[in-house]
Amino acid sequence: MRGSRTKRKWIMLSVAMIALLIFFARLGNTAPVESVVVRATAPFAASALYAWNNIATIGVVVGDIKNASKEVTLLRKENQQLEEGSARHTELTRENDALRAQLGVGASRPRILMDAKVIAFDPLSFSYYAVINKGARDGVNPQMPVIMPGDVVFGKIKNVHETTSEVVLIADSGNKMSGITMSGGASGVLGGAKGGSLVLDLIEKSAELSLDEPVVTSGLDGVYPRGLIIGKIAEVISHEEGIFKQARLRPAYMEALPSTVFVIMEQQR
Amino acid sequence: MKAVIFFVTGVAVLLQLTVAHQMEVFGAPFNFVLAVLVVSGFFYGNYRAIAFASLAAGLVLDSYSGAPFGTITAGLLAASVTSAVFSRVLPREHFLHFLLYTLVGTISFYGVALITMKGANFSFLIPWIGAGRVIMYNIAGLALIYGIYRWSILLKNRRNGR
Repeated sequence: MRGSRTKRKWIMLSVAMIALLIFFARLGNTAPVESVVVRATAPFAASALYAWNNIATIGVVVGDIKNASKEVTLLRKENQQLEEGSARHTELTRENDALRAQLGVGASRPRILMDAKVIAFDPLSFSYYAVINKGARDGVNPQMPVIMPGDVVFGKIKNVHETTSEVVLIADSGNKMSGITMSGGASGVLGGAKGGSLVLDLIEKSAELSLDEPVVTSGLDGVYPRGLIIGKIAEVISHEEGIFKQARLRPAYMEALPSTVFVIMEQQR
Repeated sequence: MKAVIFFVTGVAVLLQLTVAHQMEVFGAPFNFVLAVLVVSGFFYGNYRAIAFASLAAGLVLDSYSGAPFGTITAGLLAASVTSAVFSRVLPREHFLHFLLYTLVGTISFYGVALITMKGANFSFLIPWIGAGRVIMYNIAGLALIYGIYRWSILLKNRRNGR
C-alpha cells in the first residue's frame, strides 16, 4: 500500500517536471544550464568519441588490407594524373604571379584557421548539430564557418559557451547558404532537407546540371568563403509548371565524419 | 540494481553522443538511452531509479542537442512515467507484453519530445509520419535486445541442466 502511494507520488512529480520542462523549452534562454552540463561532461564525451574513432579506424584498416592490391594499381594511375596536374599548376602559379606583379595586385591573404576537436554530435538528430572543444575563451564567435580537412564545409558556429561551441551543420534545415556548381553553370540557395541531404533551390531552369557534379560555396551569403566543397549532385528535380529547378545533393562532410575540424577565424572577403 | 541502472544509462548516453549518429535509419539514430530505460523498466520495475536516471541522462543529452533544452528530458520522463503505470497493470512475462510496453514507452517519448519542440501549434500529421518510422526502428532494436536477453537466459538454464 505504502509502495503504491510512493509510486503515485513519483508519477505526479514526474508529470509536473515534464510540464515545467515544456514551459522552459518554449521560453528559451537555457544557455547557462547547458554550458555547465557540457563543461562537466565534455571530457567523457570527447574520450568516448576518441575511443570510438580509433575502433572504427581499425575496422577500416582491416577492410583496406583485403583490397590493397587493387587500390595500389588505382593509386598509381591517380598519382600519374596528379603529377601531370601538379606540373600544370606550377606553370599556372608562375604565370599568375607574373600577372599580379605586372598589375600591382598583392598575393591573396591566407585564411586564419583554428583547429578544434568534435566532442559530440546531436544525440537524436532532432537537428544536425555538433559540439566542438573551442569556445569564447579561444576567440570563437557565432556565424564563424567551420570546415574539414580538404576544404569541405562542415557548418557554422551557432552558440558559443566558455570552452565549447555548438556548430549547426550544413545539413540542418535551419542552415541556408549560397552554392554554385564547379563548372559555374548553375547557382542557387542551399538548405538542409530530409535524411541529411541538401537541396540547391532557385536554379534557373535553363541551367545545365549533371549528376555527380561537385557544388561549392559561391561566397554570396557573407558567411562561407568562396570555393569550399559542399557536396555532389545526386538528383535533379524539375517541374514543368515552375520557373526554377532544384538539385538534391549528398553533403561531402558525411562521407567521412571528422574528429578534427577548423574554425575560420579570419578570411579574405 | 540502482547502481547498475545508473551505470548502464551512463554508457548509453556516451553511445548516444558518439556512435548513434553512425547508425541512422530513416534519418534518425537508434535511441540507446530509451532502450536501457524501457528494458530496465520491464525487467526490474525500479521506477524511482529509472526516473532519476532519465532526468540525469536527459539533461546531458539536451545540453548537446540542437533541440530546445528540455525536449529529451521531458520525453524520457514521459517514457518512465508510462513504464511505471504499465508495470502496475501489465504482467511482465511474455514477448507481446514487452512489445506493448516498448510501443507505449517509445510513442510517449517521441510524442512528448515533439510537443516540447513544436508546441501545440504544429500540423499533427507531418512530424508523426517521420516519427512513425523512427518509432518502428527503435521498437525493432528493442525486440532484438529482448531476444538476446531471453536467449542468454535459455542458454544459462540449459547449462545448469534445467
